[in-house]
Amino acid sequence: MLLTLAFLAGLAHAQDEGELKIPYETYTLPNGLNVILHEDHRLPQVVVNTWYGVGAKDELKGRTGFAHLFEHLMFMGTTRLPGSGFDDLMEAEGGWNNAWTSEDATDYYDVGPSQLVDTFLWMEADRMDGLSTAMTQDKLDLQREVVRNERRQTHEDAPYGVAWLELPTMLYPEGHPYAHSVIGSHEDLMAAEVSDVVNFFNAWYVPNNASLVVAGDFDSERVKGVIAAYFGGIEAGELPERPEVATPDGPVKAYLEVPDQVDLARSMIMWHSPKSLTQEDAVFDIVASVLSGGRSSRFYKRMIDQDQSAVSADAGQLSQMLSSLFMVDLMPAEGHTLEELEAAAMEEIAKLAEEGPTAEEMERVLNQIRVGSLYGLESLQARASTLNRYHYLVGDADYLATDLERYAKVTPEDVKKAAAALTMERAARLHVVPEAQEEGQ
Amino acid sequence: MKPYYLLALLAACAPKQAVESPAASSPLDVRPTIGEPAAFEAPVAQTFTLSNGITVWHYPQKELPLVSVRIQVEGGSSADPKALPGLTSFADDMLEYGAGDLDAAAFAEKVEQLAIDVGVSTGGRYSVMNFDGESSKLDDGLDLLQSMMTAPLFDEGEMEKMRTQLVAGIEMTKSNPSALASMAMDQAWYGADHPLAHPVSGSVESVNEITREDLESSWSSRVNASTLSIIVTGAYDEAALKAGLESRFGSIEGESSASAEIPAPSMLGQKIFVDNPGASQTVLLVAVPGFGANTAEYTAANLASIVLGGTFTSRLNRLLREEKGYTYGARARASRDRSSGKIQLSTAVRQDATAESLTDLLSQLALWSNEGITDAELVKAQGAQKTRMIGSIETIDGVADAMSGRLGLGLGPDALERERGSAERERLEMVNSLLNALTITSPVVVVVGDLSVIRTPVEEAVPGEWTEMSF
Repeated sequence: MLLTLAFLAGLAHAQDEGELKIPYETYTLPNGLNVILHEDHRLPQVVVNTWYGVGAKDELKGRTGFAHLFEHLMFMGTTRLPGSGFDDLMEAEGGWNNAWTSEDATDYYDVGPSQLVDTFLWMEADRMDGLSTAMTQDKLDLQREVVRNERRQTHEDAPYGVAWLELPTMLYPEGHPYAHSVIGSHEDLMAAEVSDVVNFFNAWYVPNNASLVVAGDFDSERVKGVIAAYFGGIEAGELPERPEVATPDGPVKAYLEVPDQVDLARSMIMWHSPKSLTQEDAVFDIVASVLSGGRSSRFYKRMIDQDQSAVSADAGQLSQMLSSLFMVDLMPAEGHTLEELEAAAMEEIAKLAEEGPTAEEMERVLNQIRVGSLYGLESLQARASTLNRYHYLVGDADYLATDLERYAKVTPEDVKKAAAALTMERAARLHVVPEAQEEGQ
Repeated sequence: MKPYYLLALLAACAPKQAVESPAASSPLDVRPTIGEPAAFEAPVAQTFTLSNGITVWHYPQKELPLVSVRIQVEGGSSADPKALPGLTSFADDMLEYGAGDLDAAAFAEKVEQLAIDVGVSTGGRYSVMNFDGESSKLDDGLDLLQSMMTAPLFDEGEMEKMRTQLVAGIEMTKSNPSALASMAMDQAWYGADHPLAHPVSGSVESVNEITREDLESSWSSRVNASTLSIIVTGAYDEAALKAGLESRFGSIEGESSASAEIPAPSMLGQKIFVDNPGASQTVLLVAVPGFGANTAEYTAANLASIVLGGTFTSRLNRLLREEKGYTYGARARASRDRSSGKIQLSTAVRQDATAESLTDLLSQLALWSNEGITDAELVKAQGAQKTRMIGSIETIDGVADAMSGRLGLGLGPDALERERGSAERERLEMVNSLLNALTITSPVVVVVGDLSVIRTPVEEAVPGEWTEMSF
């Protein structure tokens, strides 16, 4: 506890950001499972976060959406804990769980009272050990339908949701690991077979492709024994080869218009940008903050405050493992057009490339990043996830200070150079057009 | 199954409960036992009063150099004039756009340079001004809150910009099926003329009507010593806090006066359609009367609603998602106002499963009410409730928000601890007795979907008078 608090206090006050640290202990089991232990006894709760190094980018041709579908199947029971036993046992004692799948990884987390720590570890080890042997066609069919409903709810019926299905195909060539959405297509989801589940499990859900964080109110020395007993006997696997992937120079398709049942049009402009947690990735984060981080930002001042031409004008660096995306996202006010907003946004980007950020802008952005990091690590869940994320992306859970140091190292010249790369010639531009408007044209 | 080549080595490290069975071939073959839960007490606020009578709740948490302040202002959207829904929210939103000697740009510049969060949110019964930031910025934050409260500019130019934003936001809401369902439910639940029936943000027409004088009047009529309460959590010096609050807010004048009486919801058992052409899913809401915050029954209703639809293994989610595969999720929740409450079931289902899913919701509601829950289900709900409370107070701003919510419901500074205790003490007989007494025969039902496809099957599945609403 004290170490944790010292970390947080240090983070808030630190002039020297080298002091920043989430206290933890880490080691690797002989089968390759990475273990990270982070004690915090302030509240009687515990979090077990199990991170697998597999995501939508690892799906086979014709099986888009499979990594996420597999995530659902992880809750469908094993021989030792069949049916809905995973959730039943956990919830019977006040615990809960969830998981998420991205292009790059799949993360499972269990949260609950501290007396459940052994149960969480047992359940995670049990499904890592033997999920596939209990897989059936019925389970696959049921979760396939749940996922298709998720697709309908979060993409097809959600305002602007369809655009996110289209963007990957505009940005990446066919065959690129990021060339499809995480949710996948109905057709591919329908095509998934039980053998796919078994093969995916055997290929990727092995201890040497996983990292386990235990965080909260537990005793590390005792829990080490529990982890060894439960996870130590699971055999390592041979991970599939991943092909080398070149970062595309530009988009596959420069422009696409997507009709949708929305009231306001929207322009989404995307560029390829440097991969997650690199120094250049931090530069693009700062570019985004200078452009649209709050009401002092350039986009806000220009398009919302001065011209009153936009109802929203955002920019963001969407960091990913292989390569990232930089996005400008614009919605016009009544009487204004997408083209007008795009011209204004590009002018502001060009101005930033020409003049660079002011000292006040750099100070503001760095303050916000520093304090934002502090808030982002206040909860136990966030700390557990952060430790695993750093371990996965850079092989070092103790990366918080280095991560923040990246931002402190960014110079105005770096920002100018990054902004200069954001030209319309290198961009993919997607317009979401209200269906009524589109039909009228 | 994968071989256990390290089994012999690892057995020596296994916890006692994991190696009890001599027949086990793997430590994983023996399910671990679960110990007793650790003791836990929820935060109880300390209190003091400013010289003008403003109540302050505060809860020191010295470990982190962060502080959160909430200032509650009685009124909320229920204070909107009948002809100008959205006025309270519009006025509240303007407070960040110029106050004291800072115009909108200077205000934003200051907030963002300090990396603090200052804002206002509008609810049905009250508004909440907030400051969240490092403890070293507390005085700056209180200065800004004081300016917002006592010297808002309501600049005409900023007002027009805000109007544009608000109108766009309202328009965007209309393409969100869940938001449409909530709006329809509020109108049906409260009755069209009820002060809580309209959306907090109002309508495009009303927002376009609002004048600067309306904004000034809305704010000034809601701010006086009798309508304000303050909550502070985190790392602060108590003496300095008292002095800082007294100097900034202790001279605000105002007599105590009874707040306007808000009538009970009408709850007429209406069945409402909202058309959403082309939708591949249908949003379903079903609501019946629950219990107010100050009633002894709320705790039982809340625990029982967790059983019905408050967790992943709850009855509704198990049936509609895990057994039938009709939805991504189905929920139930007992919400509470000061004097009334609502138990609402909600889901979004595949279009062709609309009628069957609605029938399932209604029959599950009846089964739940008529036959009650089991002892194991109550234990599960009690565990879930405790875990939720721990999660809600894990952060400094979380404690502030949790206390703010209780204060807004008219509960005391020990409300969180009382809730914890009463949930742990709840008995099965009491819960089931309460469920048996629920009025479920005339639920309010809202269906948002493509009516050209779903209207007939829904009307056949749930006969009665259906009304169509549009927004």
